[in-house]
This record gives sequence, C-alpha cells and structure tokens, in this order.
Amino acid sequence: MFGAAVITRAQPPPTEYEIKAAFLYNFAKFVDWPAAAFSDSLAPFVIGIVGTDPFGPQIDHALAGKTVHGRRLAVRRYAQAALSGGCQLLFFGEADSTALRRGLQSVAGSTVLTVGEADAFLDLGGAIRFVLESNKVRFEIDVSAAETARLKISSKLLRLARTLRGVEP
Amino acid sequence: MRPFRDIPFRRKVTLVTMLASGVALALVSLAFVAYDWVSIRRARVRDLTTLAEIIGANSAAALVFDDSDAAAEILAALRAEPIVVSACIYDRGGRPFARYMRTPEAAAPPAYDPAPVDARFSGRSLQMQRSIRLENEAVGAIALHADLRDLQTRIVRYAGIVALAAVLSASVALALSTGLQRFVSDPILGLARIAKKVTQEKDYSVRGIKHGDDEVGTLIDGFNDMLVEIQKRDTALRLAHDELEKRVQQRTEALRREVLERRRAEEEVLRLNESLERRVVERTEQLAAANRDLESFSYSVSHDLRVPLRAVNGLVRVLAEEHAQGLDPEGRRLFGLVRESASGMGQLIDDLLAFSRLGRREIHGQDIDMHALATAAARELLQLEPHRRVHLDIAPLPRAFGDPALVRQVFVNLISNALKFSRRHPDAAVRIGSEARDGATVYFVRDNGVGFDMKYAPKLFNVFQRLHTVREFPGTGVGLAIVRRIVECHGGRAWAEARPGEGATFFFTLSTPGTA
Repeated sequence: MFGAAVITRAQPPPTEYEIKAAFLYNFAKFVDWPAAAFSDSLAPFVIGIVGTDPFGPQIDHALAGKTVHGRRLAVRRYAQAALSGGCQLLFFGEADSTALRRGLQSVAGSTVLTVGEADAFLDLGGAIRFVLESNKVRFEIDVSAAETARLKISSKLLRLARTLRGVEP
Repeated sequence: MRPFRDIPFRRKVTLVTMLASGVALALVSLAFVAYDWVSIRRARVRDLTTLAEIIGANSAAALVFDDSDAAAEILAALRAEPIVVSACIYDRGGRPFARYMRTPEAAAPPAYDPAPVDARFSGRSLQMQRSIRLENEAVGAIALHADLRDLQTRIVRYAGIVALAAVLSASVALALSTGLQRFVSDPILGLARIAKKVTQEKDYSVRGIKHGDDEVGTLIDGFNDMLVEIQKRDTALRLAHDELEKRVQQRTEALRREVLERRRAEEEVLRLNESLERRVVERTEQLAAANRDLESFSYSVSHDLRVPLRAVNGLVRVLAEEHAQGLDPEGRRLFGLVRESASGMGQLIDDLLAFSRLGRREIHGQDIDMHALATAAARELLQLEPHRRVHLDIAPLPRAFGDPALVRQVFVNLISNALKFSRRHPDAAVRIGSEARDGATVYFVRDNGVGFDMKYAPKLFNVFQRLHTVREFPGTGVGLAIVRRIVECHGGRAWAEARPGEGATFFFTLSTPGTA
C-alpha cells in the first residue's frame, strides 16, 4: 500500500517500549477494578512505574490526555513499590529478584495490576509479564494473581495471552 | 373477440368480480412480496450489523495488542455463518489486519472505506463496514461481504407460494362468484326474459318477480308499473281502434247508402229528363202541327175570302160606273166608303197571304249586294210618291248571305214604314246604314218621323199590332211581322229603338254570329 508506505516513512516504527507503554494503557481497558480501588469518583487512573524506567518521557507524551474507565490517565514514578499507594497499575522495571519479590509483596492485597518483564516475574507473584516472540511484544498472565488483587481480567485479554497461569481447571 | 358490452350479463358479473378480486389479489401479493423483500433485506442488514459488532468487539483486543493471528482466529468463527463470503479487519490506519475467505475463490472482502456507509447492496451481495471501537476510541474497522443469493431464492420461493395462493384464491373466488353471482344476475336475467317475452308475444300481463328491495328490485317495480301502464294503454288503444273501426264501418255503410241513393236519384233525374225531352218533342210536334193547321187554315181562309171579295169589288165598280147618277150625294158618299173598305180588305188579305206563304217557303241562300238591293227598293218606293221631297241617305253596306227576294221584302217594308211615319215632317229624312255589333253586321233603317214610346217595342213585330189608327197612318199591321219572320228564317233578329216625336230606327241582322 502506497499510503501505508508514506505513513511508514513519515513515522518510524515504534520502539519496543513505545509498544509496551501502549500495552499498559490497553491492559487497563480489559481489566475491571473494584470501586474501592479509587479514593473518589474524580480520582485519576494512575499508571505507576517502579524501579528503572525503560519508557522515558515518551510514555508521558503518548498517554497524555487519555482516559480509562472514564478516568483521566496519570503516569507516576515511584522509588519503591511500597510507596505506590493510589496506583492501579504498577510496572516493575529491571531489578533483581529480591527487590522484585519485596516490591510485589508490598503491594500484595491491594487492588493493583502488576506488570513486569523479568523471567520469574509471574513466579514471584506478578500478574502480567511481557515476552518477546519473533520480535513482537506478547504477554503472559497469571489469573490467580489478578484475582488475589480483586481484579477481573477480560476473557478477550486472556485469549491473547501466550501463557495462562492460575486458571482453575 | 366480443367487446365487453356485448357479453352476457352473467359472464359480465363474473368477469367484473374476477377482475376486481384478481387485481386486488395481485396487488396484495405484490405488496406481500415487496414487504417481504424489504423486510428480509432489512433483517439481513441487521443480522450482518450484529455480526460485525460482535466480531468487532471480540477483535478489539487483538487489534490493540497487534495480534493478527488472534484476529484471524476470531474471523474464522464466521464459518458458522454461511452468508458471509469474506471479511477483513482493518487497523486504525486502514491497513488490512486480518482476513477471512470462506473459499479461496470467494469474492474479496470490501476495501477499506474511510467514510463508510451503513450497508451497500450491489447485485446479489451486501457489503458493510463497521468501525471497531474500544471505549469510544476507534481502533480499527471490520468489513463484511455477504451473499444475498439465499435471499433471492427465498423471495422467489415466497413469490411462488404467494402466486400459488393467489391462483388458489382466484379459483375459489371464481367458484364463489360463479355461485353467488346468481343472486345479482338472476333477477336481471329474469327481467330480461320477461322483457323479451313482452316484446315478442305482446303479452303485457306478465310481471317481473321481485327478489329484494335493492336497485334491481326498484327496477323490477318500475318495469312492472310500466307494464301496467302499457297494458292499460294497449287496452285503451284496442278499444279506440275497435271504436274507430266500427265508426269507419258505419260511415262506409252510410256512404254506400248515400251513393246508392244518389245514383237512384240520378237515374230518376235521367228518367225524368228523358220523359221531359220526350214530352217537349211531343209538345213541339203538337205545336208545329197546330201551327201548320193554323197557317193552312189562315191561308185557306184568306184565299177563300178573296173570291167573294173580288166579286164584291167587281160589282161595286160596276155599280159606281153605271149607277152613280141614280144616287143622291149621301148615297154616293156611303158607296165610296164601301169601295174603300172593300179595297182595304183586299189589301189585308193579300198581306196575310204573303205572310202565311212565308211559313211554307224555303230559303234560297246566295250572296247579296245589300247596298244595291236597298237602293233599288228605296227608289221604287219613292217613285210611288213623286210629289214628296224626302232626304234619302244610303251608306255603303257590307254584302250578306240570304234569299234576295225575301231580304228585298224586308227593306221594302222597313223603308215604306219610314216614309209613312215621316210623312208629316216638313223635312223628312230616311237613312239606311250598318254597324258592327258583337262581331255581327247590324243593318238599320232610320227616319225622323213620329217615333213611338219604347214601352210598345216588344209588341211591334206581332201581326195586327198597330200603334196608330188607320186614319192617321194607313196599313194592315202585318209589315213588321213579315220582317221579323224573314229575319228569323235567316237566323237573325229584328228590333227597334225610338222616342215619341224624334223618329225611329229599325235594326236587323241576317245571321247570329258564328252561324253564317
């Protein structure tokens, strides 16, 4: 397609983390949070980043002005997961397993959808993990982790997961 | 083919019913089929829209997570929908993202349309594009290509069923209308039969049978009323006709009688006429015989009287010549009177003989020079009175046809009369002339003598009719009678005009106009 070619030339293909930033936003759309997850009806939907930030300022730019579930979207960065109160989706940047486990444990029991990249992220109690499959960003889901956080993941999202865990037979 | 107005009423009713119900059926069937066509198309669009919505909703996640395999998998679920031939999911930029073909040779899915319409029917297919939204954000689009052939099949089948139903309904309607139209047509056909009977048999006593109170009933009532009226008039007409015929017969009879009567009367008249004629002839003959007897009697009397008279005359002359001296003067005077009377009597007898001779004489007609005849007669008469001075004027007279001796006698008598009655006039004048009157020649002799009163004119020409005494003017009174007899023998007539003291004119003709 000629038009597509023109667009392609004008906009270089998105980088891996640009795609992942969009995925974070889209995950939010396919997951239902209980009302208790927000302090009030006007509270924004907060995407939090803890640990090393792989997205840089592009994510703020890309998600600016977007809404999820009728709420304004906000991106916040936290030094530690334990400090991420009022955040609904938390991305864990690159870190060692110990730090990850501690971080995940600190948010366990709160209504936060945890997303990470580390190989053992799901083993450590995370809900969604990015994987790369023939240079395409895909993801794995641990349903039980989400259920523990009182979140309901849409079946539409589940069917896209490369691997599903914690699903009752 | 016969025009509609000529086909029988029964069939007309059926035809009209069938036409109306047929058209209604056809319209209803058409409406059914059209409605069905519209509604199944609408249903098809609705179904397809729902399908697109479901697939769009299901594939939204695949789109946003850029998983075209998952999208293709979702599209593959369309296999359960035989009407969808092909489908395509486009991404936000309109690029094909996932594709579905029912069979490899199936029609290609619709290309991406930046400004899509709801549904587009083209021929036997329906194409549709719906945008895929995720929380009010367009994330892509789905385009479907559906086959409509099943719809066509269905509509054709449906139309077939409807047509069959219509034909069945029409058959039922035909059967029903054939059966039911009797209620409409029977009264009218019955009426038509009666009308025909009335016309053909002139039977005005029949009546239409009324079936109901509708317009046909009114028509039958009207027809019956009309029949009553016609019957009434027919009877009246027949009566009038009979009456007229009777009167004609009577009149004919009367006329015949009248003709007979008239003929009888005519015959009677003819008979009377005949008898009258016969009687006239008889009477004429009797009269002629009497006349002849009378004439012969007067002739013989006159003739026989002459002999003794001649003897008396002879003897008186002898007496006068030989014995006059023996008589005294008185005797001589009386003797003279006897001589005069005897001589007058002789003259009278001569005249009577002449008159009666005329009745026996035949007329020897020839051409006459009237002028010469009149002139000769006048001269002869004047010579008898040489001492008189009379102015005589004879005009040229036209010639005539007649007996010269007799006509001469006419002139002699008339001229001698003229001379006689103008004797006392000191300057006597006699004029003889002629004039044309009514195509005939009228001769006349005029004098300036004593004349006469016209009241005596009718008697003038009779024998012995005298207006004057013998002492005044001598004469026997036979002259004009002789004139009349001669003139009448010639087919003419004689008449006179006069005034006392102013002279007289005597006219005569010799033949009535046209008989000469």
